[in-house]
Amino acid sequence: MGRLGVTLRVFIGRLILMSRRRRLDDELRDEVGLHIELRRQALIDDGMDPDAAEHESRRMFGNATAIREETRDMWGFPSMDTLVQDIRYGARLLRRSPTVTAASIVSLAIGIGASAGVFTLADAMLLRPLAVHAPEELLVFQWRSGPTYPYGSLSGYSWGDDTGESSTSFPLQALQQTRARAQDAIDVFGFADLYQVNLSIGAAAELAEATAVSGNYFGVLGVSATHGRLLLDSDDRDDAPPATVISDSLWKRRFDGAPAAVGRTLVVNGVAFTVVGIAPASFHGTGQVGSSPDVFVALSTAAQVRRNTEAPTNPNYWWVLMMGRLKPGSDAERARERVDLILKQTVHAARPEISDTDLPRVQALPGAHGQVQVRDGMREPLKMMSIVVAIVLLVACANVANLLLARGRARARELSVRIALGAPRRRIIRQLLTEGVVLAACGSAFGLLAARWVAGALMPAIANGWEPLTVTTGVNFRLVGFVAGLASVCVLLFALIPALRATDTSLMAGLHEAGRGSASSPRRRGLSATLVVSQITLSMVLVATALLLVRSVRQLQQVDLGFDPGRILTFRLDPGLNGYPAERVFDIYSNILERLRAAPGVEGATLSSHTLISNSANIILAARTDEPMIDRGSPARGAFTRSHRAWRLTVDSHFFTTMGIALEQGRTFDGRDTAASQPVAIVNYALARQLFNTDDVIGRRFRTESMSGAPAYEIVGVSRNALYTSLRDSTTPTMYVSYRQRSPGAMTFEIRTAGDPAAFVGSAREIIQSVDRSVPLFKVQTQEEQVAASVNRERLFATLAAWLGIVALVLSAIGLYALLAYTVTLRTGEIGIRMALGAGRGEVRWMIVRQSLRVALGGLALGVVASIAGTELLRSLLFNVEPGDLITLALAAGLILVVTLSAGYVPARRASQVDPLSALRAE
Amino acid sequence: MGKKKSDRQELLPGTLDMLILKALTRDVMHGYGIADHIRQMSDEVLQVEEGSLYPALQRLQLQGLIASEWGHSINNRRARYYRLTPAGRRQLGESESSFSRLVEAITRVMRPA
Repeated sequence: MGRLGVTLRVFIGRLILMSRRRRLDDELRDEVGLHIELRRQALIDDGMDPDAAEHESRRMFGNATAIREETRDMWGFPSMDTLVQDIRYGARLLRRSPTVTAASIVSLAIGIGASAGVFTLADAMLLRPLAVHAPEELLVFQWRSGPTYPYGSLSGYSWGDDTGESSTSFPLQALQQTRARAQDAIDVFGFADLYQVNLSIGAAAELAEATAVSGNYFGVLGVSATHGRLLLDSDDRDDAPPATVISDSLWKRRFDGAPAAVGRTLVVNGVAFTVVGIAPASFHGTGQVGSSPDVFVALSTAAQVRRNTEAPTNPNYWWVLMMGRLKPGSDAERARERVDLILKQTVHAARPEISDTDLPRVQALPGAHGQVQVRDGMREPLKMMSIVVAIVLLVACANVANLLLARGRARARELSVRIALGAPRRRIIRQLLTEGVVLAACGSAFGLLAARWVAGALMPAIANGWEPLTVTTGVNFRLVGFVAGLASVCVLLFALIPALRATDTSLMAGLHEAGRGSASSPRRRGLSATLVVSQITLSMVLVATALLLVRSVRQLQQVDLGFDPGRILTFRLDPGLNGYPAERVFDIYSNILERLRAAPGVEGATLSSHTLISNSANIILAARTDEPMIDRGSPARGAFTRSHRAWRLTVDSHFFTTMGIALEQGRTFDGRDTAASQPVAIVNYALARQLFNTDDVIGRRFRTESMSGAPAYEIVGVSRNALYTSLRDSTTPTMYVSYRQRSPGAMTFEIRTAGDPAAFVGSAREIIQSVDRSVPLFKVQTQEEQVAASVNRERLFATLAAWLGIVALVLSAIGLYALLAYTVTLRTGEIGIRMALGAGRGEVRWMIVRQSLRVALGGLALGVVASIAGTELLRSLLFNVEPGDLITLALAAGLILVVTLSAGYVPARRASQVDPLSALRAE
Repeated sequence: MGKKKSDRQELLPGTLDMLILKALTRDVMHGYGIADHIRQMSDEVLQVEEGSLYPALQRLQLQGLIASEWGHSINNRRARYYRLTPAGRRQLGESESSFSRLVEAITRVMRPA
């Protein structure tokens, strides 16, 4: 039998024995009894008298109790028994000092809860793989080309600079070719985000997320339907009847989870689809993290749903995302080479003018988590949050360590006695560590409870604010494992050092020292002081962070918008999704505007292509008519782009009066400006100066370059600079154009009301319904809410940092207080002598205050250095305040100084009130 | 009683297990039987504190070297009978040979040729 076999066998045997303890105990007693009885009989048979035989049989057996004890130890795990004992003992001791215990548990719960909350987010965003079969076999494809775009138009994520362009979108042909020609290396599938669609089931319309997928999508992913079937290749054909798979959440929301939903019809952007199946609840597609499509349709229907003019098979229209599952025995590089070759051939055939070096190079990324772009954007805020909560956790640990140190001192006598009585040091350290574990376990339990709530509260800080984010946050084994690991680290941090310290025999003067409390041991106080210094250092970083963020949010809130956001209700409409022609959309819009303006309590109503301060915009290039446009791919393109960017907002003629943007020259749009007449524009001063270097631009003309051609505009008006996309972009060169001169897409309606704008929502809904029942309102909110929401991330970080800063500061103050109070107790005798020798109360007070000052200043000095370095990480969140800003640092330092000195004052006062006589008598 | 003389020997450490296994090669036995067997076979020279047998029996059982079941003794008392398992028999072989190597070595040292 191998050694491992024996060990395992012993282990299992022990487990079995442990479970049958009582019976075994009885049996052992019987066995021992029989033994002694038989021996006695034998002795009597040998001629011994019964009394002596009774005695001798027991003597020969030995100490029956000890032997039974020894045997019993084998039934189960002696170390576990001691552990249970330790836990009971520890819990009893912890109950005996409820203040210390409660303070420790609360500290740990805050530290661990905050960390667990951030971990929950990180887990949901970064760690959790797609809920599909063997996600680790999946690959995501993207490409990078030279500066000449290989595509004509693109739908999806793209990013790049002067040296090249990257994207995850591919032409449909690349997908089809890869499916046909790379089967030996990889099973590729494709999908495309259809973004928000107008979804009608029966009479009720709503906005939903939709995704188009290739016929093999679900099959390759290994997802199966909970009801009905998923989409197949036979659905992904031009002649196939439109079929759709809906999400579990839509199914529950709109069909009450009834299996009869399969076979029902729903209308997506005016196209009728038959529901063929329900996807599992855990499946949220393969798109960006946080996206959660409600409707899956076949790629062959995408063009109909999308209602754009691009032919889906046009090799210059890139709109399909590609992923794949590696074939057994293949590897990522082989698959990449195949896709790379196919894409290059496709591009070369469609655009022979592109040089070989500029052709896109395909990259294959691990696909277990789906697409990566949004996830990458979340790393930064998550990293920042992690740092902040780690600081809080450290402060909390330092605090608990300090509390335990203080209690260790109080227990010095008990521990000394136990060591003197022969308890091994290891045993006592284990006992103290167990107490730490009990504390950490309680803290973790509360922390786990708080985690979900913390995660929910922090969620808006990582969302980018303009895309919906659906994430399930729950307790899972990764979170529990993380918290357990964290708690273990905490125990080592806060319990091990005090335990080693408390049992250090060179310091174990406990028996005589603890009783008298005069000989202060500088090493112990040194450790406490170090802990307090580090707490103050960390608090300083947090307080400085909080102040910087708070100041920056205040700065953001005081930004001059250039328009008046008060009493404005906004919502968006997109009737075009129903497949209405442009004329009908115009009619709906002007009808709605007319009725809104006539409604009671409305001071003005208008519309614009984008909601102001919503981080979305239509950015184009604008140049004077005498300037040549620099083409894409030219080396000078980058510089030209930077100096000719213009933000275009499509609006209605009432926009300026309704929003309160001063139109300082010229006129607004009117009936003269139609689709057939000369395109006109109103520009703000920023664009006027960027184009013509003067404010006097009425009547001048400029050209634009955008995806949809390059019309030349005549300037008919000049407006004051008003903010467009965000509070941070103070002067965006902006051109306003009339919606009547552009194809009408989705629009934001802005209504200025006399009273509370939120109270007008019902009336607005009725008005829209009276014009067209199948046009849903979405993104309903007031303009002020939108402005506030645009600095959500900043405000959340500020709030988080402020709260945690306060927590850290309070914890540090408690630490300092405990340290000084202890010092005063230890030095009572010394203080008595000093006072007896003529020291004044003021001097004594100063002595203690000096000590707190020393600790506080030490912490502050380190804290300033750490803050200057640390707040650099905040740069992206700050506005009009520099990291390491001196005024902020001074404020933070002042605040900490005040708090720490207050914490030190009470012990100092107590010291000064020492009665020399009684102090000396106690000596 | 009465044999409080120096001819009684403490066991060498680690040999009790071997003695138990050896005792069980002959027959299944209960605890008292094993103790008595060891006493008698060593002409009452080896002194086993009889109680120390029981932790050893428990340990050997856990290691799977012996097994036990309840039965009835000759005078109809309930008793636990131990028997050697195949693993125990193998273990005994190993212990015996290493023990005799040890004894030979000690003998060579103590009585040089």
